[in-house]
Amino acid sequence: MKERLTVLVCGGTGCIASDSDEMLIVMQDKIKELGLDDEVRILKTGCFGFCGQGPIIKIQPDNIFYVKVKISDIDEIIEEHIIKGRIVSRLLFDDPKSHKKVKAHRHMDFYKKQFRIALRNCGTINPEDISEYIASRGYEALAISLQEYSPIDVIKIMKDSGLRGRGGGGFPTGLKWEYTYNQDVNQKYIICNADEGDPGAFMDRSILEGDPHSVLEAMAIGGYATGATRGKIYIRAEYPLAIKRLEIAIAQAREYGFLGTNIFGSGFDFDVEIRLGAGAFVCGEETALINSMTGLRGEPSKKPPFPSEAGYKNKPTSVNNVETLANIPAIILKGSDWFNTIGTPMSKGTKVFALAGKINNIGLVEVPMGTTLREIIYEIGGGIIGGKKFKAVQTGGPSGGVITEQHLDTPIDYESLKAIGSMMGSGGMIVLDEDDDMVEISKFYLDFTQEESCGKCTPCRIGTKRMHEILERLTNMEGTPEDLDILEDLANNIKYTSLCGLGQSAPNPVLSTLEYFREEYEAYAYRTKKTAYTIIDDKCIGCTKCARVCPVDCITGKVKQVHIIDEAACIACGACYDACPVNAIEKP
Amino acid sequence: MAVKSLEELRKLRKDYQSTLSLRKQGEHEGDQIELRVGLGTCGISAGAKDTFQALLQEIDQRKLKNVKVVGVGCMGQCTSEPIVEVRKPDHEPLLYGPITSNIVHDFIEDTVVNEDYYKDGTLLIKTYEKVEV
Repeated sequence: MKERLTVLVCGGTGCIASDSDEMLIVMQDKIKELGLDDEVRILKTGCFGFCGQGPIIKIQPDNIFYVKVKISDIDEIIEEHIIKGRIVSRLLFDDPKSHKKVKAHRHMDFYKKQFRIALRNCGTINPEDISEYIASRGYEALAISLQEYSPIDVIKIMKDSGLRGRGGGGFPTGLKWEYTYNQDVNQKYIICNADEGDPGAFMDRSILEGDPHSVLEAMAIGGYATGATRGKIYIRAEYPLAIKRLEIAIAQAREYGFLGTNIFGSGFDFDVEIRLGAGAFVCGEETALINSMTGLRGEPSKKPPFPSEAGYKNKPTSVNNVETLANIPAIILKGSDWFNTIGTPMSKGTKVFALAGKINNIGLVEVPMGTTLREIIYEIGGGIIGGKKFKAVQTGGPSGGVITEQHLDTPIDYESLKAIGSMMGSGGMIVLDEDDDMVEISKFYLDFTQEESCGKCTPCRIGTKRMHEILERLTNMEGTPEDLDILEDLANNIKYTSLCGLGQSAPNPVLSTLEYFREEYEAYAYRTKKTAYTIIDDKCIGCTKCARVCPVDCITGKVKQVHIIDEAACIACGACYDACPVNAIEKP
Repeated sequence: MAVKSLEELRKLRKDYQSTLSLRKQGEHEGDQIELRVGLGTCGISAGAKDTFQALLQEIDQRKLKNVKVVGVGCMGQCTSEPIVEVRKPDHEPLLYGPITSNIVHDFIEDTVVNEDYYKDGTLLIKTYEKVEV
């Protein structure tokens, strides 16, 4: 029997959380039971990116994309689609704009504008099977580098390509490799920074889960270019699936001779080891990461010396982020000229963003640099949930800031985001709508950074704590107008006097919201902020719907009479607002 | 099993490539001929699964790159099963039946290789109009 169907079941963490791993087993068992296992291949892939619609099952070559599949749907997919060729329409994606069912992913707005380099294999191949990576030209870039290029050639390709670090710093990768290469020292290291710590960003995890070999291959290429024979992957222990797949990948790569001694008969030796981090946010900073790996406290040290001069064990070390590495084999295979055609003059290539918040299409998107925020939010993201009004998008996580309506048409790259008071960061993008309270959002991020501050330098350790206290005071309606000046002053001081990137960027969420949404801070500071919903008397028709949905029973009124909200008891949950059929309820 | 050169790696890639071919076909955009085999109950009982396999083998033997075979639901004209629909880019879809496994060789020869109609003894069902949704 020849194989006629390939069923791809998403094995990313998001889909596994909704039982996709069990679905895979149920499906495989059932196909075996029916005697179809020699014509239908069922396999697990990495993340498809469209996590808001998971679990996802894709069937090829029919190119049908099933979304939100449940275990109870498996029988129908097998009996209808696999056996009888009939598409199960109810499991197709429902376009939020046109409300039509969409069969193929390429017809979905979410995928149309994407261009996938780093995520090229995610959701296409089985990450636990090296043969599928090899079939997708895997390890060819390494073989070509070793056989046809000198280390200087490889560095030149990277420099010409214009690839910059995707972890947030945006430092040119070729230059970093060159600095490490130039050190005349025997032992050098290459470190893969997989300590992804931004709340809301998960591209590195998805790459490691979906295409671990691309990262290993790039590390070996980097080792060859810089002269490092040892690679280390520093990954947080909270990523068990990524760790497991990396371990499998490393074992397979060793078996094929892609890691180990005398790789491709070139005489080049390289091997990779995994080091687990305990999940401290600051350990994503390269010097703190190296300290943590050496067994010291996860605290940053001052630069210079940079890791490329004296890093791990005081030896020259190149620290590269996961997404950066995943780009490298594609650049070697397709050339720096090709990479140069993608993106903006200063920022080449693509960037992966984790789209979350009040947006219809939630997931991972990879777009060319220079794509505008409007395209990402309204086209790829499908707009704001429930047709509500866009307020801002928070980029760069706890180190970034908010971008408002006026800057939606800015083409995204490292420089443009910085110019409007935010930053690329690792690529988290949280979309906020009219209901979100910017002071609360800032407080959330400050709560995170003050807890994650390692405590080494005073501005960050004490400053962020004080900032958080002021925000706490404000939101409790106990603040004063002077608090705003203190907050701003403190924020700027922390920004300019902290030792590392964590402290230098921790005040950003406050500074940027203060700039764009100062009136919201003032409402708290002058204690004029309304915290309860109210009913507009002449609009209320006395239908009782609001009173029935109120979770704290603070709405009273008789049928066909005007209702009243007890403002002291109102928790501002908004349930009444959504329930009211005549828009008689006013927001705080 | 260490791979010792770029050439060895490329040979290995060729060996492994077949596992990805169905996925590649699915993702392919542009000029691709799609053969749709009716896999309704009547189709299957008339031998559509054998036809399906024969089509796959024929395409494989001839090393045809731009053809994919897809199973679809009942084609409606049960007396002519197994039915195969040929969809070429910029052409109206054509339905043929019965296409049993023993005539698949000639069928592919005429429809795909010679880019013609298949006339030999089987009914050419007229094209139909269908609502695009």
